[in-house]
Amino acid sequence: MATGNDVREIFQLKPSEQIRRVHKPEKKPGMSMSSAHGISRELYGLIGNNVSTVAFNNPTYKPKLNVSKKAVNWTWRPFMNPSRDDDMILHHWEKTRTDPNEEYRFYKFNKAINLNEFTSDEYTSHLQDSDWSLEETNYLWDLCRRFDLRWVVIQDRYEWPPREQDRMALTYYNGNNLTAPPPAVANIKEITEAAVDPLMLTIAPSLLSVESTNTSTAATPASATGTGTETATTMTSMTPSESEEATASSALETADVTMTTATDATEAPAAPSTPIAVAQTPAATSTATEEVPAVVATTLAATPTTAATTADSTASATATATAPSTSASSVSVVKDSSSTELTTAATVDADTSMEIVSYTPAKTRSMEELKNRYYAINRILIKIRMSDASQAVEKAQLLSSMAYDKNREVERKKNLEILNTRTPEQIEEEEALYLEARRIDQNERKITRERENLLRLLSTRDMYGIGGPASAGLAGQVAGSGGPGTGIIIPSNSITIPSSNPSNTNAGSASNNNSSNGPLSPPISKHGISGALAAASANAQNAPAKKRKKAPKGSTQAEEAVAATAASASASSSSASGAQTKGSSSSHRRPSNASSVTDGSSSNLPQGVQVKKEKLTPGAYLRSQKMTPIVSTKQQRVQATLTQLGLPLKPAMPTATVMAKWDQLTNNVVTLLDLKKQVDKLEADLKVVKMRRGSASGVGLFPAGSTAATGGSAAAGGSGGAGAGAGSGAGTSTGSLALAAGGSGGSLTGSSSDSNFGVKREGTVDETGTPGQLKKKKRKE
Amino acid sequence: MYNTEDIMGTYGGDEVAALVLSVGHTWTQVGYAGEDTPKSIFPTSVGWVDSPAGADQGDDADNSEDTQMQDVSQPSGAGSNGTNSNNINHKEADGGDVPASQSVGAAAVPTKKKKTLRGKYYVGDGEISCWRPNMEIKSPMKDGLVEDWDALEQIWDHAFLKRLRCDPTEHPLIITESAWNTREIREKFTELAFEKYNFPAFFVAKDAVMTAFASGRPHALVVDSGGDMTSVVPVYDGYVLRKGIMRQSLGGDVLSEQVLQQFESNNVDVVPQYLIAKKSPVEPGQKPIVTLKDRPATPSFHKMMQMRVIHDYKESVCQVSETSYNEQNIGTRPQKPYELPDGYNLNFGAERFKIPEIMFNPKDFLKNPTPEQENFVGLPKLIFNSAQSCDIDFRPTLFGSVVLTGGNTLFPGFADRLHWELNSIPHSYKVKLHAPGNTVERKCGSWLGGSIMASLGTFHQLWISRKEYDETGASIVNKKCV
Repeated sequence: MATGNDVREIFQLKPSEQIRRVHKPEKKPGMSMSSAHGISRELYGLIGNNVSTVAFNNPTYKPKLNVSKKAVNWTWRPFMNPSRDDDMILHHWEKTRTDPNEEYRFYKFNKAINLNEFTSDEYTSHLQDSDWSLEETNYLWDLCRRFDLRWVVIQDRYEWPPREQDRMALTYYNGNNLTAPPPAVANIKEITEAAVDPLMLTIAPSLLSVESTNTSTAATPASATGTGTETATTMTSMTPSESEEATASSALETADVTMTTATDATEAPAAPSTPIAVAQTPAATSTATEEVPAVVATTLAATPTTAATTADSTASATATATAPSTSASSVSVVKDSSSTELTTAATVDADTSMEIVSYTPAKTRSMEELKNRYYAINRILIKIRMSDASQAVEKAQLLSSMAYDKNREVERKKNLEILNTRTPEQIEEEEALYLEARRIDQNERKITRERENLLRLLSTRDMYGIGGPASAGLAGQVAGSGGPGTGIIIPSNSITIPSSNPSNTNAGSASNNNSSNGPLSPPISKHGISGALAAASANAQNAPAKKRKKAPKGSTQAEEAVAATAASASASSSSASGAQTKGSSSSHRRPSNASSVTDGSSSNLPQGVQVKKEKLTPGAYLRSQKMTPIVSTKQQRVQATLTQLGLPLKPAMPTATVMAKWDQLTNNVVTLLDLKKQVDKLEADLKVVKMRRGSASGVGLFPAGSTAATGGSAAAGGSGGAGAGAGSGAGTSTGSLALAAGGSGGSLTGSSSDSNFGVKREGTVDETGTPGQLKKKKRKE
Repeated sequence: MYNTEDIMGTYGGDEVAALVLSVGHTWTQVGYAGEDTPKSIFPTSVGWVDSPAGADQGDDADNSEDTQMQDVSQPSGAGSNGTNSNNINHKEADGGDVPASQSVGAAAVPTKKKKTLRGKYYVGDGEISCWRPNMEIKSPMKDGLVEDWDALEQIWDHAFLKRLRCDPTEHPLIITESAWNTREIREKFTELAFEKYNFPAFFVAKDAVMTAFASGRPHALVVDSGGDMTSVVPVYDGYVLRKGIMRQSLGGDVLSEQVLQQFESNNVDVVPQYLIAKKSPVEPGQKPIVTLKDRPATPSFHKMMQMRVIHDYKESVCQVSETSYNEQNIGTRPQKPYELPDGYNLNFGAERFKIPEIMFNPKDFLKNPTPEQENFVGLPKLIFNSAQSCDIDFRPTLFGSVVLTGGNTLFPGFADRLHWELNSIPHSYKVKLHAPGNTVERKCGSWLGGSIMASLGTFHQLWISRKEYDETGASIVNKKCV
């Protein structure tokens, strides 16, 4: 950066003494050196002893191969792994110098999970669960230990009672061939597998009947729920996989899956992979064939109640069992016959007999159930084992670590599932809505600003509506005391609120009702009523204030009505008692005496409602100074309007009354102009929106639009009602208040429910209401 | 410099010279743990001659080093379009690329004439692709399960004794199995390893888990599309989630059959190498001018040789459309010329896209499906079904690491297409597809995982030792290898 010194140097001026003094301390030692060496400063800046910005690393090279060093000897050495139960010896290469007896390096990684074990006593006394047996709990514990609490795996392998079976080993499964509800299919498959398994067949022939019975029981409910043919098709769909095991000749017989036992008998010799099975098949086949009729009977008839039906169905079953294999008919025939059999079986009353269904299919449990059981047991164990009070903190920690809320988990997963199974349309719609919401969100500030502007515009009228009567009242009072025509008033300091001045100025002759009604005046209660009570009592002064507070937006008309009444009342009175009259006249609806304290309708009026004060300048001033100044930007237009009305730009005779009227008039003109501007703007906006919606051809992305419209219409109704109330005069001001409140409420819901549209509608509606009002008022004036 | 022990410590390796064997439906891979490529890869199929009189070949042993990673590389001079550039010579490949046709050697494995009529077994690429009258060819694997134990023993013999030439009693053995393998088969494996070969230690690992390992992931959704079948297996922290296993026998072989059908419908006969004596170049689409040898062969042998030609066709020509199949877009793609061994050649356009499209849309593209094939679903659907059957909290992880493996996924554009398809299924998960660009990694994913795992120091406590086997019996495998 160029300093003054540089400039001087450039112009070859001697640096001034002062500057030199200033700069001296900053001078770096290098500078003096540079001047000492006679190197130019710029050059010194480049090569001098400044710190380099780039960090230099000394280049490092790969160290050369150390040839002189002797190579380390390695030995092929046996080792034992202490992680193993047995003493298996493996060999590996190791440096010769290492200690052969050193502990195996990877032993330290052998970590097992620390599972809280429970004793059988503990189980019987504390851990019983109606849904869980001790064996199953032990099984769960076993799995937890085996899979180190990997719940996903535990749940995957969980099968109670544990069966030495390989699921899905022999069947295809691509998740597509689900013709029946998945669990049913899984069951059928699993069980057919079990029945098909030759090893099972040979080892436990007695089990065979159970297994195949089970097939039948699994099949029958399915046929009961679905149609018989459906079941048949699911069963025949199994056949290709099975027939791979079997030879081609036995394929047809295999097709008859309902005769599982027969299938087994034919399949067992065909399976080349099991010589053990082959060796023992004769015996197995014999037992199987012996049991075939009985099993088949139960299969098809689903254990009919009477012996007669059993016999019948046995006959039919054996007939169908032999028919396909002997006639070697097509698969469709088999399918037909089996399906008809199944349907008949279904029609026969399925009184499932307990003595045959001794086997329950493997129970699968959801992960939540498993986790719940595990954590519940752990919690109980912690509770019963750590009864010591000194361990309370630790116990609480442990308990919180074992906390598990099953229902919540289930709910969470269900919700996740829903989230993940949305259709593309749903996702699209959601995205569109999200974008729209974002847009609204982003526009919100703009909208609220517009809305605030609008409301401010409206509430200026509001304010003015009170200000009008107030000033009028003041004028009346001043006129009473000071007399008209003076043009100069001396404001009394005691006046805090114009409308409440009667209580002060006329303190001597104060009527009871006015004694404590000024919201800002301290409650001077003659009757000893507390301030709160006094305030709670309804009176004429409070009512308008409250209205303003309660319905600040939509109820301008109501305000106006009251204000107008008050204004007219006060304007008419020019005597010293005018204020008093005004007070009573503004509250002429109610008897203004102490009994009004008990007036329930307005007993909930809040205290301390602010009323706009008239600004009081100390000292004497001209009345024309009190003229409300018009904003310069609007001045011209206001003036134009005034000339249009045939009025001078300033009142010729600025008396209090005239000034009050004048202020009112100019204010009205300003508001009118503003509102007109707003109306124009909003109409233009509306047009744009309408065009846009028309071009959008009703995509239906804005469901809230309709509600906004209704909200808008509600607002219209509300303001319309308010207008009506205003028109009908002060007598119905309460009614108009209610209506106005309703209107504003409606508009609020409309706007909050959605979007700028609601706001705009509301705005336009209000607009359409107010200008008419204004014009009316103006005309009146 | 670096301390060796630090390196060992950081990756936790501790080599015990274990053998890794992965027997798939089409290819068998065998090698030493800790290496990054199998020492040897050879076809799983074995050949045998039924009658003892049929085996009259000389015994030119070990002329059959199979060193080719590619499935089919017919080394005929006519294979002008074959992209055989991917051949990888192994370290042990002392013989180099030996043309299959020239090897007449019958490295007769002198063992095992146990109970069948089968006389002599022929294992290894050079052996089985050599024409012999009456030689039957068969793969012992079916649907990821062992179907023919005699043949499997031949494979093991060949792998350990002929290829690695190691002493089984000195090395622990780890083998891979399909995720849906049965208990009986694993027990038989265990018996075989301990009883016949006397391995000191043994382990069976799930191939899906190993593939996940090879890609460095504890959790993965392993999509394996091989010659025989396509499976999707969710892996959680090194454990297969059985309920999520989805599979169907839609693999490379089905695609090859479809290609064959395509040719047949155009009245083109696919004549394998071994039949061709002489041929002359012809214009595209013209009838081939060829002199055939009189070499009567069994249907299974002929089929295998045909399949090799078609395999080469698939590798050279076929491609997957990157987005959904669109006839117009496909029409604008360049055509690719291909010449069959007999000289017939043609420029292939849309056909070359239609074949791998079967993997994604079997309903529309699979011609003349069998009843079973009518149930096939597209690969994306299969993957989605698999993930969907897992716990919902685990699904994002699964979708975040979809691992692609298997030779059938090596079509150009396959991974891109799959990614595109998975993203067009509506769900709110982020899909990340891991498809190694390296062909070896894609083909030997499970072997690589086994190689990594068996060389870890922390793994050695998991081996089934001889002692444990003697105490418990073969069923110990079901307890220790879960």
